[in-house]
Amino acid sequence: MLMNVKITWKKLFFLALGFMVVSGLNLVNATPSSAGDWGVCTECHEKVAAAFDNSFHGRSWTAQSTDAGCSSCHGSADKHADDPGKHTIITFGKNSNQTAEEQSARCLACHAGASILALWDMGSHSRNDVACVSCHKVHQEKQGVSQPDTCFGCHRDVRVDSNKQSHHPIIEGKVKCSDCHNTHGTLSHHMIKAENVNQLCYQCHADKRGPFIWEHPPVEESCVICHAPHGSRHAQLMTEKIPNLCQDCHDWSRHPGTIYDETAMFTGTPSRRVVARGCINCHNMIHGSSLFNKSGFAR
Amino acid sequence: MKKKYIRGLSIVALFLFAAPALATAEESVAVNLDAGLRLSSGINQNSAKFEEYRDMNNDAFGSMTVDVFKPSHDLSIGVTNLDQDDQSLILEANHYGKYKYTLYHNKLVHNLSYDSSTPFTNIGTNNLVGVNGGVAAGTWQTFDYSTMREKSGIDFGAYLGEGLFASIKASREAKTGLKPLGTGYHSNSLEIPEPVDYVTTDTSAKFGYKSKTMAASLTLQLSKFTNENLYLQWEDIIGAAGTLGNTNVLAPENYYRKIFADLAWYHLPADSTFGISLSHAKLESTITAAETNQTALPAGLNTSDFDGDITYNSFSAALSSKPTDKIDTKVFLTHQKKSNDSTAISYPDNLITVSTANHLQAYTKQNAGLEGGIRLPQKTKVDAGIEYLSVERYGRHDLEKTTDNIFHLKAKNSALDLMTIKASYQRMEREADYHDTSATFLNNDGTVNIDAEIEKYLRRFDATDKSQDKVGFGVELYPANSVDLGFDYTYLTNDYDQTVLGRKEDTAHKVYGDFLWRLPNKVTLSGFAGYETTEADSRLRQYANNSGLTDPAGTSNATNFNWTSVTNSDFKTYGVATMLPVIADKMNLKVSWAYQKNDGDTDLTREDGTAVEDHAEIDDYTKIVFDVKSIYNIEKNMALTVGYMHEQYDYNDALFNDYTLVFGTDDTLSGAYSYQDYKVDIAYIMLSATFGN
Repeated sequence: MLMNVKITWKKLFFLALGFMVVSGLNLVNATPSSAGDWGVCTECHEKVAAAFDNSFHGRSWTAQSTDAGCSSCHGSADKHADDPGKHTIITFGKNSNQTAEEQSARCLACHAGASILALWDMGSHSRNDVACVSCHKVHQEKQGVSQPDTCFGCHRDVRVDSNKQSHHPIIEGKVKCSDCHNTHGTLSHHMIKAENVNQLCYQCHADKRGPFIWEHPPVEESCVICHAPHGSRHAQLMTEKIPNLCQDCHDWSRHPGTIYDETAMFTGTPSRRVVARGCINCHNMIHGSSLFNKSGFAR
Repeated sequence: MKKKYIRGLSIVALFLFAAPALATAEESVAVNLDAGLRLSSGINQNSAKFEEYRDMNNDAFGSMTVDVFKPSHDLSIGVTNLDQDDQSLILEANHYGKYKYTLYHNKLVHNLSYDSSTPFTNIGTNNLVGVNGGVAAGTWQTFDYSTMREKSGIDFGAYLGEGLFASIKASREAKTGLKPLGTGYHSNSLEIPEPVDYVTTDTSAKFGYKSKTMAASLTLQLSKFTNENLYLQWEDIIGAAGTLGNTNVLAPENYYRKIFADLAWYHLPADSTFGISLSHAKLESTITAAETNQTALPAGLNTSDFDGDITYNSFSAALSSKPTDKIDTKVFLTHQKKSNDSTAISYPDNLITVSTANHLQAYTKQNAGLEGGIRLPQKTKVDAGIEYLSVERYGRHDLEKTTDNIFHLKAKNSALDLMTIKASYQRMEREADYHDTSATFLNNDGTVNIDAEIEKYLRRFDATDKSQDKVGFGVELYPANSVDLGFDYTYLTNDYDQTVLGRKEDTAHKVYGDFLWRLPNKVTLSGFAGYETTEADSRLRQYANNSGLTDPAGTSNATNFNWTSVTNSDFKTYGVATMLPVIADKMNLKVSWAYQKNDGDTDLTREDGTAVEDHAEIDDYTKIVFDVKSIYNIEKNMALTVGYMHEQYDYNDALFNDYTLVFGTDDTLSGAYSYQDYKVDIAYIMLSATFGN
């Protein structure tokens, strides 16, 4: 195995240099100043309060010198200090005594003006009791949601599909759920970031946009007639195995309607119409053809 | 040049966080640095599947993030998988309440097949050179089917005050490499490497306003796609010497521009929100015979210049309301129209039965719906809705219009604090308006097209009559603060009740479950499982050319018969993962194991009783991923990870078993997707350091 090692020594040097430079720096830790009513809360919630100082919210509030604090989200602590319990304070999460809408209202009290939330009321999340805190960890250091793990928590079918043998590089971290879906609400079905499926897919697959001279009707109508975008057991994200998928629409004399059984495989007398990539051994230009001489999507 | 760019960015990043060392006490810096070494055995042995979207070669690897937090803004610089095929660079800055921007450069590799081969030379160009007169002669060239996307871009957004905001985005993506192209000639198939050299540039600008009562925004979007190879020319290697080459026309360059507006009004009566979305987009392309190397044009062709011209218009509106605290409603309407004003291409041809004119595809879609929900006692919510979808298609030869009527009902109950139950049901009825198929089909010369009579019986599943039922059931359990359990079941069936030939029915059962158990002493245990079983039933007719024997209820003999296929698939997946603190606050052990198996087959039956051989292996595969790593905290901010990973993939499929490059009479393949099995072992060691706060 060592014989096959090709270490980029320059890369190692660079990383080592990084370590040396970093470890030699006199890095300054900011001493956060507590704002608002954090003092009352830290008496019992010392760890949470300390962590909040380093959170995005904590830094932002400190920077803007606001009097925002724990009560901005959790409500007044007056009763809670005397009678600790979830019933005397506003809590968030699955054990909250607030509905999802009530929890989100706390966030929207400040963030209603965010342009990204313009259509929050229209979206599937809002209408299915998904609260802001269902995805966002408010006490964390940086903004953003951990994708796709956060989404997989509810969308188990998508998690399974994303791990199948043919999939978009979601689990590899190259495609995020939010690249295709606007999780904060849209007017489109499935909260996709376009008016329809094709317009969304063309954003990354512009080579399929056309316009072509000869168009394939199901391609023009919707990519998901033939492709399962999250993942599939079949190659190239197909919803069904080729040639079955093609023969479900194409029956004609000669080869379209021909039955191709096991004797037509490589193990028997192979037919070009079914072995390997099947129909697209010849009809590769399946998304559209621009040969003036009509070729049945072969050229 | 690229390596210099990467090194330069790294140097800038290193010194960027050095600067805060001189900063005031109001600033803080957090640096995370990972550097490691990976040794692997088994990869790059013909199968590209293990590295489909990854670069896992024996090499050093590293990632770094630098976060600078200042009173008025924060800055984050990140490098992931430094100098590898899946490298990612990102710089994000956020000036609180004022503006934010992101610069990025991302690489996405897609490895399809290694060690493919072809009798052509000049691989990677749009002119493949071969030797006339024989496929097997000479030495085949070896190459990899692989593409690389490199995308660079900037996103900038600013808050302009008084509710006004603006954003600008710009990106450029270059995609290069080789992908398989299948084409036909001399009644043979040929698989050859198609050169990929695309550039897509996107720009958008958005301007808007948002207040507590309304929001409005206007966006202009431009996108240009260019292709360095408008055609692929390849020599006729089985024709006689001197036979002219052939041409495949590749993806046309196109130009897309779109303008869209969103409007919303809030706090309307009955606690309503009303939203509107409008968009207008135009897509253009130009294809000329000269530019695409098309010399053998059909006689009588009306024009050799094609101008693609497609317009998309869309209007959506929705009103969501909460007339009481127990009731919520939503009404929506969508109108979408695709107009196709591209060049009509036609040429006379009395020999073929299909039309010699390009049927430009267009459509009009109308979608409307009403939903309502009511909260009942005992933390119960019931929702119901109806939806109507009408699609009118232009240019499609078999049908004009489909209408869908959809009804759904769902209920959820969380009366018990430790459990949430949900159930749902959806029913869809689709009706299709087919073109009149009672008349006799005629060829262009007026003779009867007896083969086309099959259209009287064939229905295409994407747009034919069908009834669909979808049932769902789910349970979320929280028996204790430390335990989460979840379970989902879905049943979906489509009955294409008017179909005589085509897909007749498909069904799917899907079950998923997972759990998370947080044990004492920071031990965690999690697991998941999934099972899917699907079936698709189809019926077709095989009939001899020019026989006219298209009626499925008609003649049945050795060359004219009906047949059915039942495609089955059983898929299961499960896995477990655990985190064990071996030495408290000093060393943790993480172990995970995941398994996937698909078992597919196709049962074929000839209705005349003649025996046929079923396909026992359709996309059969098993995949195992095992990972164990020990994380030792050398110091509070430094950890050493030592790990081992085993990944194994076995694939069997009737269409690829015993794969042969040349078969039949000069059918020629190149090995695309032919070998996918892999078994890989990887040992890795990584040092992680965190500095700052």
